[in-house]
Amino acid sequence: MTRLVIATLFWMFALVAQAVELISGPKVMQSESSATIAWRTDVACGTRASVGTALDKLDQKLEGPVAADHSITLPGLVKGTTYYYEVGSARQKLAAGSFLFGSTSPAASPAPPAAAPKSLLNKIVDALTPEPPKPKPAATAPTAARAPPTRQTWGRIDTLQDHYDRHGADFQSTSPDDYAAQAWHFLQRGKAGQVPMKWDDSDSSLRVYDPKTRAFAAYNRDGTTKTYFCPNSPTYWQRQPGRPISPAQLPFK
Amino acid sequence: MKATSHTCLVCGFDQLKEAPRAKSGGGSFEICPACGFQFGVSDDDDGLTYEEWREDWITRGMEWSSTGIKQPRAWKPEALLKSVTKKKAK
Repeated sequence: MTRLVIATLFWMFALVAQAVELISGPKVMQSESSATIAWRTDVACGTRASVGTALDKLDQKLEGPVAADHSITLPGLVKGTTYYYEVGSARQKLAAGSFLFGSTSPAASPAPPAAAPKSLLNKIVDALTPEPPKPKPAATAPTAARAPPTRQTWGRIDTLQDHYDRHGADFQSTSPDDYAAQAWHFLQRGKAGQVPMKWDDSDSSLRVYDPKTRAFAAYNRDGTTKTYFCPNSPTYWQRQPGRPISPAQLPFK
Repeated sequence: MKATSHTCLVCGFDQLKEAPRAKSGGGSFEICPACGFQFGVSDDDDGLTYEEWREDWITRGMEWSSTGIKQPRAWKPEALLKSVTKKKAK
């Protein structure tokens, strides 16, 4: 029974972790009072490290920019202390390890096997956690038009907070209103023919995707926003239903 | 006119505003205010099944997820949960 549970957990682990892969690292480089953990991923993604002095107490969360080459510096470390860490993006833990600060052997060591089930739990919990900041889509450039009031652009206003909590960090949104405005700007790019759109006749919804920034949004038939986020999966857009639609065919202006 | 409600396939919350899945198979993108599952994202992007999310939600104490939508006074997660797990058992 235990083997079955462990096998299932590893299968789930692999399923959830498929989007981003670790190419190299993590390496730990130490200086007098700090250490830097560096790693590389196959595609650009968020940078997050959880660090602590015990494997079950990784209470220090550090974040960095979206990149393929990641590094996080841990300041104010105490010599002679063993630090444990996990690195990855907000949704995925890619690796874990530990190091003795002040030692002459700074290479990262793998975490004990017991850490694996915890990592899976973290992955599931991470699905609730928004991604770290990613570059804003071009539509939010200073030259873009000012968005209408949020109540006019967001479909169900009582849901905005939850969508912002979950996805706002994908676009470095500073508030729910900012997040809603960015989603509206994104739609303007679709309407300008700058990014592909799909129309789903079965529920009259519009999907818009930018392959460059990986920004994705769904809109109601009246053009108000349902959601706006950056999918992790590289095949997400391809798997979305609907037929390609041109700006002229949209049922709203 | 009374709006139609839909049931969350994960936790049984029966006041979703949209069907979790359209006829095309696409997700509604609605975030269940009870369990926090986002149809079309938690599953289609994060790769989690309803069962996995449900188990995790139960483990976390079946807390009301939404910060923007108020928890209904009469909300009884244990009873609603039974409605989806019973359907599954049939």
